[in-house]
Amino acid sequence: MSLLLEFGLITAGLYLAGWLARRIGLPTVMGYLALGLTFGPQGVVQVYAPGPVVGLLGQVGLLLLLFFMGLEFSLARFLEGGKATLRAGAIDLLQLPIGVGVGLLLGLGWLGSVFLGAAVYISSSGVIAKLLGERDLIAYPEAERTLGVLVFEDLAMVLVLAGLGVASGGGGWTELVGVAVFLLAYGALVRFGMPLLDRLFDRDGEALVMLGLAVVLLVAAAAHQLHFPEAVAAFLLGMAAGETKTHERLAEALRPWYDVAAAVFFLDFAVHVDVVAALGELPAAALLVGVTVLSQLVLGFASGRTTGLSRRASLGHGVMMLPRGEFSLVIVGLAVASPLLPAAVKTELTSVVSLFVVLMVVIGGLAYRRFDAVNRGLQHLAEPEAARRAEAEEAERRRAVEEMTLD
Amino acid sequence: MTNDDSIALGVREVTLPGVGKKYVMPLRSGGNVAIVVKPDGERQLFHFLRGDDRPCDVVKLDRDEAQQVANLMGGAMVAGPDLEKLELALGGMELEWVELPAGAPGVGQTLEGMALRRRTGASVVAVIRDDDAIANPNIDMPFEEDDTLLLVGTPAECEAAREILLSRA
Repeated sequence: MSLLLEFGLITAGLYLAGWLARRIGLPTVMGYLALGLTFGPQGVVQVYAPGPVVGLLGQVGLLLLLFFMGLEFSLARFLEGGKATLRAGAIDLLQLPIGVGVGLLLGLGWLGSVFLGAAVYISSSGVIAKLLGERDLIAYPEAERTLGVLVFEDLAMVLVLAGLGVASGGGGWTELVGVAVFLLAYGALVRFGMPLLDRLFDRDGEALVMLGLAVVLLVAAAAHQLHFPEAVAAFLLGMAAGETKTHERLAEALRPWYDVAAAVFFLDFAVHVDVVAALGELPAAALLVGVTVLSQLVLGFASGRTTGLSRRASLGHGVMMLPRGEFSLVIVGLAVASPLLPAAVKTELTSVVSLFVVLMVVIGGLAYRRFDAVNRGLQHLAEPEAARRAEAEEAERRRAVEEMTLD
Repeated sequence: MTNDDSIALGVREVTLPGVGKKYVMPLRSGGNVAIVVKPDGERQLFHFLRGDDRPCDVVKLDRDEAQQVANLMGGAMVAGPDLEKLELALGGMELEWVELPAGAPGVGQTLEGMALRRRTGASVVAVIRDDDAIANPNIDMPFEEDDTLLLVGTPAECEAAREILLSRA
């Protein structure tokens, strides 16, 4: 079919899929995935084979997803967090080796398992912040802790991605030199080039969009030449750009491109999933979900208790950290782009993590919708006596207030 | 660090990264009030009963509503240091905000042209224009309609300066 028609149908499909997802209360990403899983060449109704439009935009989408992630990360915000965030974040970080363990169990090899660990560890900041707002949980004491840990996770991801970047460069000497050159150039930029970056992005309107896009794409291309993974380069670039004075304007300028390209990325991702094979991975995905939910709740409880939260709030913190989402898929996207992973591992990662994300989105959404009930349920599980007592006291307090006001 | 600073009346300021700031104030009658301030101007007011760490109610206000409630509560919305303490620090001087509506004599004038400090003793230390704060304006910078000027001086000095800026004097 003509490129125009393909592009038109893709955007129309993404719009409808996103709309449908919102209508049933799910994030738009779920819609995009569903679209690809349904209509892709290995999907339910095999009508569509990805063409050049999806290929190019999907690549740009991955770049922009990581660029924006870097852009929104703020070192200042991280430092503001203080000791509580560091301690809670460090405990939460234990999810990473747990994920790696499951990966090894599933036979993904070391590098594949690290990708799996990263994909499983990272909670979805965007979804959590939104849900906290929507369900009015923002003033709960554990919300503070949760948001802090999410910032910590961002920093951890910087290090993990940089590490994966170096590891994915390939084994040979040319590759290592290339990676070193890139990292040196980046180091120089951050140390000496920030005023230049400030001036570069200090412009308006179409000039800013054009230039912003150009910089992201060219830096990625340069990284590719140096055997440094483009997506990680985009992330690092985003972090540097995030420290400029005009980063908000830059984000605003590039957002429309981000919206479209990121959606296409998720479509492209889903279109490459072999649905039948993926369903075969259901047991593995279920194991992963079970381990992740359990470890998140336990680690969340530990994080809360060691940083001054009550038992109830600590359990609540674990629940709040549950949502996993689009970034897990981005990590798998990185894995797929890595020259070091065998094809079989890539397929398995794609299948398992896709199922994992779908299940976690549903579980996360439910947990938030019934947050207080889930919190109460966990309290009863953990310590029934204390929970019953606390409930009775709370009911008494509320009754007392009601009686007062009814007078 | 920032998370446990007290501002006044035992108000605790907490940063909610990616969302905004939360101010928690204990009530003398028991319980707490928490106000979540978002950068887009939206305010959320949470009420906690004594002994509860979960709010029993929330009031969500957009920027205009928050301003209205603040006015009704009897005071300007100050997202910064306590004004009273600031006045003390100024040694009996006061800070006065003067807004220049259309047609005010001050519109189009400069500090040099009006000789405000020489004539009254009050100084203009900042100008708020379209959500931008211009500190220490140049003496040849003309004031514009809808500018808000920040004056420093004794109450009498500020009153005199206000006269010059707003009415024929």
